[in-house]
Amino acid sequence: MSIVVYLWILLCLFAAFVWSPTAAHFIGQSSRIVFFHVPMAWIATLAFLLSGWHSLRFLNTRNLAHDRKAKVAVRQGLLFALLATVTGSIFAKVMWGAFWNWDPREISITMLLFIYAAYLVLRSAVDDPVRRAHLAAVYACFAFVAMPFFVFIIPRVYFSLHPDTLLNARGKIEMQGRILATFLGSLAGFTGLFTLLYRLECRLEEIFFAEGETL
Amino acid sequence: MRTLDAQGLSYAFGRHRLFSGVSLSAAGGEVLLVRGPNGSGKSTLLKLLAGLLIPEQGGVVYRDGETALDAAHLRRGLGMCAVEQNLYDDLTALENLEFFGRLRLGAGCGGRARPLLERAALWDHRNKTAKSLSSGMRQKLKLLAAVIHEPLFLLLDEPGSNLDSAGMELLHTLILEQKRRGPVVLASNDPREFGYADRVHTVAP
Amino acid sequence: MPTASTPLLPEVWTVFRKDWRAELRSKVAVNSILLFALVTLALVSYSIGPYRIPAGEKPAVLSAWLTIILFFTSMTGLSRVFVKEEESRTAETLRLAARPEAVFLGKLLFNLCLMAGVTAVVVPLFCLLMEFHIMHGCSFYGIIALAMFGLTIASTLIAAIISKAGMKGALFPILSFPLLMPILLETSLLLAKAAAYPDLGWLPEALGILTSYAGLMFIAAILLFERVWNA
Repeated sequence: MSIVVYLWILLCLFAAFVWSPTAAHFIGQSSRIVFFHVPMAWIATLAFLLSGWHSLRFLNTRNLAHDRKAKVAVRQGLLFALLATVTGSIFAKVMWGAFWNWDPREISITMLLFIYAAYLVLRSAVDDPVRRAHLAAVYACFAFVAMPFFVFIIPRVYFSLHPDTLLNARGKIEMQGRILATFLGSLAGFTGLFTLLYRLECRLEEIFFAEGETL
Repeated sequence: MRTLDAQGLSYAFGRHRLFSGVSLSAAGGEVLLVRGPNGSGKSTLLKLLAGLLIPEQGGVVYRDGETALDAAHLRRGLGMCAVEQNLYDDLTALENLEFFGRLRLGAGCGGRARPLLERAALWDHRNKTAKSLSSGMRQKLKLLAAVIHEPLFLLLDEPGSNLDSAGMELLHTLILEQKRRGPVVLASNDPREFGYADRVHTVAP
Repeated sequence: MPTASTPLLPEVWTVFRKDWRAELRSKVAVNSILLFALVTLALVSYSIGPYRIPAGEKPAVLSAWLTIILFFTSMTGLSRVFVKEEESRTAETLRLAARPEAVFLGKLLFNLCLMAGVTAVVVPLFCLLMEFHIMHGCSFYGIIALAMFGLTIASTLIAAIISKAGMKGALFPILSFPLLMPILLETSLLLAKAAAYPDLGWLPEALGILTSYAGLMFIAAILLFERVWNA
């Protein structure tokens, strides 16, 4: 499966930079960033959902395997959230002249970064593995509850600089043709890549745990 | 008949395994002495019995006759006095007792504190904050707080620490009274307390 | 067979009264939180003063400052109610005697009283020192009350979490900030509106957001607390 994912991503890179045209209303080549930035943000959100799910499962079952999976999801989510923030920031600089505007979506991704980082700091501050798992799981679930406020309420209430390239207020899909195809392909590619990375690191966690070490 | 039954308890702290497959039981009217060298896990075993820790394997069941007691009933039915469980420094002796009595008995705890404090020769010190009491007085107060609600089961972890002979007398009478209500599990390395035991369970390191 | 435990509300009240009494004697939390608030107020008042900010900017800037002061003030004192139990080793004694819901609600009540007292001192003083003239006073204070309510609920659960970890002092704001951020942002904006907007058409939606945040946090905290308390 990994070969398929790697080849697919190569294809997406080609499509993103060569095959797909640039979009109207964007400065220069900057619209190409949507093929990377949006999938990264999507993966960051997916990882968040995964960590919330496994945290809940841990609280229900007390099975430490769920705790390990939640930790992996957070670590990788942090990576993708960072990448999404950086790519978004680059785009902001090109389009609007400033790296950071405190646009509501930027606020949301920042909060996600803070939650991830706080989760990992919390884990590092607790020695007992069972207690650590409980506290981290509760924090993740609590953060999960607070999330609707980031994602739904704040952007709705405030005007956003964010281009609504995919789904705008009218609910129509704005992308056309090659751009749409490349975008969807990239989305699939990133999801495949994340699946690979996630499963790999989970397996690594299990191996380390079995040998009595921690990652 | 009130019984406490622990089966197949296993517990590890991180990678350090304390014990595995430990089973013990105690029935109404008897004192089970838990002995073992320092670091063998006596205190941890008592915490597992109290439900303060969850064992990796095995479980503890408290029964009153045929009925098993759930967590809510255990708050009312279990008393514990342990080294690592303190009372509130900023509350007076009387306030401490009333606090723990009220939590378990509601307003109906009124009047229980005074006789207990008098028996422990603490009535004259009732308005002193716990932190201003001597260590022996604090220990006596902890014992009183463990029995104010007349629990069915009593767990004691080194109850004789810091106690003088009068304090040991008090402990002795409290244990005798408790035996009439249900079993007592006593973890100790103090030879003064060995005499209370009806049975002994040794925890191997 | 002993009867089941006492009814919830009296148990909550017992826990609350215990913390209240202990705090009245030691006054550690209330002193540190009040002192912190006053020092911060003095600093802001001294360095910025009531006249440096143009009148048009005042509502937004001062609302932001006030929200910041209230946030950091809460971080100074709201964790004590749980941290003290762990540090004095009374947490296990309490675990055996009281049910988790009663512990959470009792301590939440304590924190709410603490925050209410501090807010009642800090906010009028801030408005006085910074010459902050509020157009809709009732809405202004109502928003603060509701926002602090939500903030205290979330902070109390976080306080329970960090009390069981190391680095408690530093960990409290680190864990709290991401979860409080929406309410802090919202509060800052709403206070500016309450201070300066001529009409109150935005108020119902605002109150809705603050109330739903507080409600959601409350339900989540009540459901999750038992696992933290027994961790």
